[in-house]
Amino acid sequence: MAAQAADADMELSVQGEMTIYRAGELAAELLAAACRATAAVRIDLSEVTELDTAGLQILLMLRRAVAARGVHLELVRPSACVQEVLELCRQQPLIGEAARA
Amino acid sequence: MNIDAAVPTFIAESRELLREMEAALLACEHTTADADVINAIFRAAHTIKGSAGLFGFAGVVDFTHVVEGVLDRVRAGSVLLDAGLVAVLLECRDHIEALVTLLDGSDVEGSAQLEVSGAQLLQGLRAYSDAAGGAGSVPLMAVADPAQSSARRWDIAVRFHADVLRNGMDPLSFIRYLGTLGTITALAVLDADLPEVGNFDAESCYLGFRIELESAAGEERIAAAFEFVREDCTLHITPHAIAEQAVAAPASCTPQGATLQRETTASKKAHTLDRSLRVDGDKLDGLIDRIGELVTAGATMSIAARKAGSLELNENALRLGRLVEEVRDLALKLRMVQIGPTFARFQRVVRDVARELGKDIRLEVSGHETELDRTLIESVADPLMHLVRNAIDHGIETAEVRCSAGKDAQGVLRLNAYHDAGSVVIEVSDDGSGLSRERILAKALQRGLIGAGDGNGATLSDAEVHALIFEPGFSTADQVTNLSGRGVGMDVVKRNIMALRGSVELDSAAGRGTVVRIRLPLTLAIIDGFLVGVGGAAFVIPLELVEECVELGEAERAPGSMQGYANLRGAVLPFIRLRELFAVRGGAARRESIVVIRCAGKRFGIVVDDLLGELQVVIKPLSRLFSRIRGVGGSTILGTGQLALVLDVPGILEQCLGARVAASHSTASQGTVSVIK
Repeated sequence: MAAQAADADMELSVQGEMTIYRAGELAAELLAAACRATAAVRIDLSEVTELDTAGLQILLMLRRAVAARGVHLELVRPSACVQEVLELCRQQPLIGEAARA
Repeated sequence: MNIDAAVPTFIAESRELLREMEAALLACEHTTADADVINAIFRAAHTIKGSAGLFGFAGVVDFTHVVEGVLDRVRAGSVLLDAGLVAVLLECRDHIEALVTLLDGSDVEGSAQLEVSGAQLLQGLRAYSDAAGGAGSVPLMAVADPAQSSARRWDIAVRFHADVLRNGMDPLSFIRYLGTLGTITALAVLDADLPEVGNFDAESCYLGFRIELESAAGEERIAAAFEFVREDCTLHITPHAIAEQAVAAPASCTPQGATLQRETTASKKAHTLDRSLRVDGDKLDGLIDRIGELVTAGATMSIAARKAGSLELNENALRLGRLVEEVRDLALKLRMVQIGPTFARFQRVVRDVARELGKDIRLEVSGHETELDRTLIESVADPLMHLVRNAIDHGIETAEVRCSAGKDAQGVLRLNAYHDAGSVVIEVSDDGSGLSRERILAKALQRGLIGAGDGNGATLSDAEVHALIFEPGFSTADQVTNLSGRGVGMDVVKRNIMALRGSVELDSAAGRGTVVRIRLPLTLAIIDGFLVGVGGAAFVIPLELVEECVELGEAERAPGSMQGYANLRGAVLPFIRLRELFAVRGGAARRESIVVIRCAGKRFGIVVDDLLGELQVVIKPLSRLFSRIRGVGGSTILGTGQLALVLDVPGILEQCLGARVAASHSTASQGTVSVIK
């Protein structure tokens, strides 16, 4: 379900809902991982079934945390519900940022 | 978020738009309209149609659609907006207002009538729309798409409080709902409040949103979208200024930067927009109320300090008193509103009434930034209307008469307002024929308002003669036309103004015009009073009405003497005893004093036991139970905690004069009349 670290480029993935109900647990795990990042952080959101404000807030917090370490955050393969929230909040740039750069 | 709940908002907003439309149309009447003004008219019709469509008010949509069609042609330049069309459009505007007013469902009868008049108006409009192609006459009944009928842009700034997520709310859902009210044209997530990683609590909300919404919905409807989180967010909704749209448009290239830049422009905007703030009137009244209590408590405290005799305590009480006074003044200022919008309403009145009477009259307004108490503005609107109508009807002459008198054919009516020595003065002046002294005197004699005691009026000054028209019963409706001055219900005007503790005066020069000056106190809540005692009870008389105090002589006190008159330096002074008026228990005190009052140009005395001095009082209205008691205008709490009644002096005067006139008729006492006049 949660974060699995990969090589130098960190790849994390979230499964299930990203909502207030799991916010505490997800935030702790994702942020802890992000704080170890040395290169680009990618988060696979293809398996996310629900995203609410708490979930969005975690993503924004992650962006802040990795930016502080001078690396990029990139959301990959957003599921439909993630796509919808990011569009609503004009946060599409979080998706596939590296690909564009 | 019941849609019915939004209907009153729709009505209120439509009225506001219709007022704007009216002002714009009136502006077109005299000068060639520029594009901005025409656009304003079009937008008003367009928005009303759109919102009415949302609610499914077919009647309003159908009618407004035709009006909008014609306006669209005007905008495109294919129809000329001449005086004739303006007149028709003004009528249409009135019709829309009538339709909208009907929506509150209180008047079922009126709707059939409206349908007939509406059909006639449409016929009139068709002449304009058909001439230019005829397509406008196709009636359209569409539930307007909110995105399409977007007439306004709104800036919405919402900051959610930390607990909103824990309370089970999802802010995103409110933003999604906003999307259904219109189109979200821009949105910025305000994430500046996100804490350091270590302090981040995933269950607290740190986010805010800045949203630009294009919607036909009104402010209240938008606010209603946040109904469920009202307690959990800080919400600012402001109409988006058109000029700012251009400024806000450019977005920078990096996404992070874009958000940041958005945020800074947004917060800058918030900074300027948030300077003024809408506050519920009741809250304001609550504040004033509490400050009244504070003034009272402060007075109690300084009395106690004086008793205690401690220097330090006294000093502090003094300082506190000063601060309380300052806070009070500031709070009262909050209730002040400009008189401009009230004046603006008269443009239409003047135009319509003048037209009806076949007169050419121009309204000039000045001093529209003058501020006065909100409640005063509401109460003064009716008397003002009366004065304006009177001036048009009886003051300003027809063009022919004016020309033959060597005046400009166009009459001028002026409304002016200014502050003067703690009060507000509102002037209604005209350059008409002025008041005719002879006619007023003849009338007053006929009505018995003056008599032989005045040498049949010969001894009266002009001002005194003019004051006669404010007398009750001076003029009645059937005499209107044969009196070249005015005087229709001027007594009513005067009474209304007096009830606001104001005064009316009148200046007139025959042949040159008339000025009516209404003088009002700045506020109704706090006055300077004169405290008097009768038995154990305390009463407050408004200080500005007190002329002097004299001791009541033995002769007047003697039982069985001619009751109710005193000799004041050779003049007859009618008086009343407060003890009798309010049936205060206990016999008369050993010494009594007369407080000489001048009110409405009359002088009379109020007999009391004790004179207790001046003080500032906070007037509290009496509860409804006591509202019909005559002679009492309110109550106040003294520094000692004792209750004092504030006398309604004009009311007492009226009451006692009424009794007097009846008495003087039966005793045929001529001397009385000259005093009362």
